[in-house]
Order: sequence, then C-alpha cells, then structure tokens
Amino acid sequence: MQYNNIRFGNGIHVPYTSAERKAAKRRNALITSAKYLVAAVLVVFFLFPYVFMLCKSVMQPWEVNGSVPVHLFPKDITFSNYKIVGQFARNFGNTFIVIAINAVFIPLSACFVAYPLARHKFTGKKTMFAIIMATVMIPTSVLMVPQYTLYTQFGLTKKLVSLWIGAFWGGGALNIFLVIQFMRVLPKEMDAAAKIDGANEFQIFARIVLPLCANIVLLIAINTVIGMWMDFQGPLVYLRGAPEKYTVGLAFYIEFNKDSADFAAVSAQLMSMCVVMTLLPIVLFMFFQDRMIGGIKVGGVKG
Amino acid sequence: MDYQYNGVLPPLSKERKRKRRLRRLRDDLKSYVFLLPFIVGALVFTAYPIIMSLLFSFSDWNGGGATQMGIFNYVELFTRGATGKFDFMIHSFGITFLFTIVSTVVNLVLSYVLALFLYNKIKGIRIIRVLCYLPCLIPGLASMYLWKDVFQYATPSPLHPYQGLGLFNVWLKNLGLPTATFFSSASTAMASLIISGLWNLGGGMIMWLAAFGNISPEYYEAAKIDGAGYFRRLFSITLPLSTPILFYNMVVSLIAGLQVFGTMAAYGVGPSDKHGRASLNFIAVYIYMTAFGTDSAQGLACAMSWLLFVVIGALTLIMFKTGGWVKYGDE
Repeated sequence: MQYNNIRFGNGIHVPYTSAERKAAKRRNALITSAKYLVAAVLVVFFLFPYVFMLCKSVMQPWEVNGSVPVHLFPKDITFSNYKIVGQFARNFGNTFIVIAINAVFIPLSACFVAYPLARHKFTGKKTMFAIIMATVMIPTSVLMVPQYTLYTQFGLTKKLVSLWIGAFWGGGALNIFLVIQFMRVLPKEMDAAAKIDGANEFQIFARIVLPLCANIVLLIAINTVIGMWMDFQGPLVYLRGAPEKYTVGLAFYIEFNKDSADFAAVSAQLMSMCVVMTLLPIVLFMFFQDRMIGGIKVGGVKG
Repeated sequence: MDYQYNGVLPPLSKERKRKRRLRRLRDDLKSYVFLLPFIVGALVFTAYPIIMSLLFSFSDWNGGGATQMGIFNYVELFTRGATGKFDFMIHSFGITFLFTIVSTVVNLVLSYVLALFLYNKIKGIRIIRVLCYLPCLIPGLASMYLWKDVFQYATPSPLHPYQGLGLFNVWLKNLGLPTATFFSSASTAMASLIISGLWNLGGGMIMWLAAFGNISPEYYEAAKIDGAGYFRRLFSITLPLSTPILFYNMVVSLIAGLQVFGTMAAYGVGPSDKHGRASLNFIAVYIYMTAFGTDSAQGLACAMSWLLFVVIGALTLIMFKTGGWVKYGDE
C-alpha cells in the first residue's frame, strides 16, 4: 500500500523496470494456472454424479451384483439395462399429462392473480398481499391429511386430476410474488392508451400485459416442469391403490423399494432410470439456460 | 352564472359524490375479480383443510370416521416415556431443525466461497460455472438413490472383504482407510445426507453470482480509489449488498428444510439409535407415517402438523421482525 502511494500518490508516473514487468507477468501466469487447477478439481468433483450414473448404467450384471468389488468405470459395456425404461411407459404418459396441465395453468393463473396487485390501486390491496404471502409458510404436512379427506369426498383420489386441480388457484404464493415483481415495472402507458380506446380490464390484461409477461411465464413453466417431474409426495398420498395412474416418480419409488435386500443387483437398472429421468431437466436447461439463471435475480428483488 | 371560480373547487354535489363512490366500488370489484381464483382456492384448498386439521387433531379420526373427541392426541404427544410420543416427536423436531440449520448454513457459506471463486474472470469461466451447476439438474429422487448406491456399506466379512460396499467405501479400503457406515448407522446418516447435499452447491452459487451481478461496479471503483483491499471490499460491499437475496433464500430454505420429505424414498426413516429413534425420521416423514402408515392415526398426525405449523409461523415471524440486517441498495 505504502509503495503504491509513493509511486502514484502525487501524480508522477514512474515507469516499471523490465525486471519488475517480467516478475509481474510470471506471477500472473502462476495465479492463472493455480485458478485453473482449482477449477479442474471443482469440475471433477461436480461431474462425479454424472460419471457414476452413466458408467454404472452400462455395466454388465456381473459387475454390479457384488461378485467383484464395485468400480467406477465399466469393464464391459451393455445397454440392456435401459430396457427397464419401457416398463415405465404408462407412468411417463401419466406424468406428462400432469406436468403439461400444471406448466400451462400455474403461470397463467399466477399472472391473473398478480395483475391487480401489480398494476391497480384498490381497497384492501395490502391485506390481500399479506394473505397471499402468509400462505407460503403453511407446511404441506398440515394440509396432507385434511386435503386427502377433502379429495376423497370429491372423488378425486386415485385419479390424475388430484395432481393438477391445484393449478388453477393462483399457482402458489411464490409464483404470484415473482409475477408481481416482474409485472409492476412494465410500462403503464399502453394500459392507459388501451383504456382510452375503450378496452376493458380483461382485454388490457389478456392483450397487453400478459404478452409482455412471456418471459416470467416461461420461467415459471420451466420451474414447474422441473419441480413436478419427479415429485413423489403428492402421488404417494393421492394415488395410493391405483397403480395404473402412477406417475414416474412414484412408480420408480415402488419399483426400487420392493426388494431392498438385493439393491446391488438392480443398481445398474436403477442408474439407467436415473439417467433417463435427468434427460428432461438437462434438455430444458440447454434451451433456457439464460432464463433459468436470470430468473433468480427476479426472486431477490425487494418485496 | 351565479358561481364564480376563485381557485377553490366547488363542493361535490351529493349526486356526484355518490357516482364517484360507485365508480370506486366498481374499480375495486374489477380487481377482486382477478383475485377470485386465489380467494376460492385459498378457502377451499387451504383454509378449509387447516380448520379441518385442527378439528381432526382433537379426535381419533382414522380416515373413515371418529369415535371420540378430546385433547388426548396432544396429551399423547406431550407424554414422556413408553406410553407417549413425546420423545419421538422431540427427536423428529430436533433432527429436522438440525438438518435445516446445518445444511442451510453449510450450503450458503460454501456456495458463497464457490461463487467468489467462479466470479474470477478467466477464460472459459462460463463453462466451468455450468459444469458446477449440473448436479442440481438431477431430480432429487434420482440423486438420492444415486448417493445411496455410492455410500453403500456392509459389515465386513473376512471372506468377501468388498461384498456390499459402495464405491466410496471401496476407495477408502483401497487407500488403507477404515470404511464408513454412511447411511447404515444412526450416528452417521445425518452427516451423510448433508455431505451428499454438497453436490447441489451449484444452485446457491448461481444465486450468489446473480447477487454479485446486481451490485453496481461504481461501489468497487470508489472503494479501490480509497485504497480498500480485496477483503475489505468483500465485507463492506459485496456481503452487505447481497443481504436481500440472502434473506429471501434463508426464508425459503428454512421453510423447505422444515418440510423435508423426499429422503423417505431412498432412505426410509433411516437406521435407529439405541432408543429406537430413527435417524432420518424428519417431522414431515413422521407425520406421513403416522397418518398413512399401518395405524392410520390421522388425528394424531394432524395434532403433530399443527405443532409444526405453530413453530414455522413463529420462526417466520421472528425472521421478518429481526430482518433489520437486510440492506437494500436504495435506502
């Protein structure tokens, strides 16, 4: 610090000597290579689950059933473990129905509910906002038993409808919160212009505000897909006793827990299922990487 | 004209006042039409079940019907020893809090360090960031089975020393180290769960990077001119200005941590200690097992979930009341 001040403190520029410059260059090169070394260690660490999963999914039965010590890289490759995926075909179908309905209607209903909170002044606005935010802290386990009872009364259990009926009521407080943050900074001039042209509130919402919310709608839709893709708590409670309705998450849980004594023998099939289940999130991430990462910023904005 | 404008607006006539009030009402109503889905949903799917849950908690409801009402569920929950559930419930609450606090703190701190490193501007840093984030994309259900496999443990037998050991234990053995019990012993199950969470640091890292990106570079330039070193800038600028995002994530991970349930799929309730208390019997798992297990003691489960509800409510309130340390840039 002292050294710097002497050199530059009074505005007189003293040039570096060539020896100094060389030393600085060498030091920089050393720091950069140290950084890459750390980065390499991190990458090896974080890629480990993928390497393990992919390698084990192509191992021969004799490699995994305990007759030889477990090893990371396969000694002999086979793809027959992936045949187990076919067994889940119906479950994949069920899951796609559930996540398609949720991924469309959760973001849309969140926008619908967020619209007046973000763009209108009305009596009781603060109270409504507080009520919505308060629902965040209600634990799902408080609702588990009575909701199950409620769904039974309505005849919704053992049906896929039990997993998407919740999509139409605002899509959850955190999603509403995200949309409010996003919506309230959109320019208001177009609303006013449309109002003068005689558009009613619903037209303004559907034709002007909603199209501008495409980004946040997409973000919530992606988060919904990833969140519900392998959800197993909901299906476990509501689909009990209806095997033909099982989603992939639940079917996976039941398949690989039915014979826990022989975990090693099925572990190659298990890992091939894990690989398949990871494909959808990976593909979504490849397409929407910037949005998914950018979306976190929205969440952190002041409430 | 008998009325002359003198800078004061004429008092509104009764007629106009009424019209204005009506228009106001109409506008309010329009807003509430948009809120209607939420209101209906909250009443039917949240408020009604919560009240039902409270009622159930004072009965012996088992899914089909109830025969008696009273505070016996709460009495059972607060009775110590073999006749009551107090010891088990406190254990479940305890491990749930332990897991929530330790994993939240560990993840926030380590992901912060990771983000600081990945904020370096070296070539290819974007790729490195993405690679560090990748494990977060493995669905939770799949990743738990994956770690169960990696962490497999079996009591060693002299004939087949490698039998039943997972990859990590084989590596430990090959290095000449003692094997670890991981998920197979009550004393190490929780630690193993937290360790396996380290591969998900990428999520926190992305959050921190977003927070760093939101801080205006002018602060850093000003601080550099004033001669503030790296650590001074870190503690005086980066950390305080990251507090809003930190607060948001603390609240979210607190609520998520207290409801952890997914571990049940791969690990069940975990191995039991010598008092018979299962090491991964988190409160949500315990509630599920009580309600939908062999007993179908749904009334008792409701009483437990109400206690959890009260605890979470109190904690959220405390967090918001003590949120004074959160520094918003615009104040």
